[in-house]
Amino acid sequence: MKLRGEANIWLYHATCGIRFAEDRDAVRQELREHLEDEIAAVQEETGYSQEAAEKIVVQRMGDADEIGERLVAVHTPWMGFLWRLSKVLLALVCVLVIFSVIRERTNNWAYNFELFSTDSISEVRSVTLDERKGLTGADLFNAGRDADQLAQFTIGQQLRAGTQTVEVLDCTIWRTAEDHTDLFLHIRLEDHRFWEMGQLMGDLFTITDSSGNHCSRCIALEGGFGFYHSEYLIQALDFDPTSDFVQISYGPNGSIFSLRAEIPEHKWETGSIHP
Amino acid sequence: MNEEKKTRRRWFHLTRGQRTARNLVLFFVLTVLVWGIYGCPLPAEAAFRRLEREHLLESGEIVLLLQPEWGKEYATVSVNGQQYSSNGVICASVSPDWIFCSAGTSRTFDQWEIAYFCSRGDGVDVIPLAHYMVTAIDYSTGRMNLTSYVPYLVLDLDVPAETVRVEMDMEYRMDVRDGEMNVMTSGAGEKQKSGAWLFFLDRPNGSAYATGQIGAPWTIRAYAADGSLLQELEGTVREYSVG
Repeated sequence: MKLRGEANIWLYHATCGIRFAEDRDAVRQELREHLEDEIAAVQEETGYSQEAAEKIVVQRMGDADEIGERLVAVHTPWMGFLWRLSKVLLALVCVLVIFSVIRERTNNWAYNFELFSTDSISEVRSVTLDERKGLTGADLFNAGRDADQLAQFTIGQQLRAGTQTVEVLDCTIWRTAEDHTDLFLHIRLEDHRFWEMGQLMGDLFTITDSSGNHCSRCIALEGGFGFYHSEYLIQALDFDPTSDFVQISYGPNGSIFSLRAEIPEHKWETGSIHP
Repeated sequence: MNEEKKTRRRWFHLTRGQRTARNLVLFFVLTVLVWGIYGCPLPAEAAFRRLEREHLLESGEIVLLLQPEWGKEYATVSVNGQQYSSNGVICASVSPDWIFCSAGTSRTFDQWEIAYFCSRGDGVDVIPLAHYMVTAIDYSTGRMNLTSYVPYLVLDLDVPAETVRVEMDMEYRMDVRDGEMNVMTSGAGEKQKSGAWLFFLDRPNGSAYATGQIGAPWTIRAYAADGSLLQELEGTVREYSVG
């Protein structure tokens, strides 16, 4: 049934105050269906023409302006506009995500990304031991008692440095050349803020043996990283393998962190810690 | 059957408020994702603070922050009437134990080029930001002077009150085809609001970067208005780490 004159005018007046168009259309549609049902019922009861039935139904419905005011009060526009805005924002950010992923696709930033892994040290691929080159960090700690590996023990000490948690996990000592031995430390940095990736600089390490001798140089090799952590392999050149302990200092005069780890007598055990 | 369909539809049906909330949550999550893809950029000072934390440092006192003003491509700084221009950001902070400096290629510091880390010493600290290059603007000719300069941050420098001009000389180590040679370079400096001094010294072509300047001898001279020498200080560039 198509509404004519009176009912159409009533419908317009009752709904024209609703500002959000989609609400207005929905309410208008609902009222239209209601009016059509009512008109059909009146026609069936009385046998009147559609125009006459519309007049009766419109009178029954009441004042259009008064109903319109009530409808406006119920249908505030801001929720509708917010919904529309949310759709636009979502569409824009989806486009931006696609664009960004395509743009960054060629960058290998995800190359050594490990979400929660603790084995990121295997991502260190550039360790050089005398004649052996290109070893991974994991090779050093899983060598199965290689003839050149002199010691391996767990330190497992956690410290706070700024907002980062520094965890010195494992230590191993390798013979790298005749009369040269290097100490390797597996260090993990953690921060709950995924946008802050802990960084270490080899130059800032001072690694000292029990005789008070400093390692000639320290190299920080970057391992894998994830949302909440980054891992480093620290190579300290020329460490005395007979030392009783290793003193690890980071920053000027050890101002950032410092700890001492006893090297166990049986050098394949867990060391004790003296922070 | 229809009832079943209706029930299922109702199950999936969200009110407009729920759809709005869902869209806004997705928008927020995807925005964070995009921010992460672009390297989590932040405004210069916040990004520098983040870099400090990433290097396991507590926040130091910022003594230098050079960055372009909004809408401008270059940061400019005036030292003794000479305008110097850089197309990036330089920031430095100090604590009683350390000096931390960095330079980025954009305002948001999402592309850091270098971080310097030096321990505080007794007396005057001279910190070369040798990886960073600035050029000078010569307004007298209306042309940009293409000479490049190395910025130096100088801390704890006290000069007599009547000083009108401070200059610094430095002996650079320079890589040449057959080895190395030393070159003298000099430039003027000016005290910044933070109390730190900023000097710009000529960068000779081929001069060694960063670590080439460790141990380089410097002389700082303070002059009065009549040109007489008021103070002369000497020292060497202390060891620093570059990451």
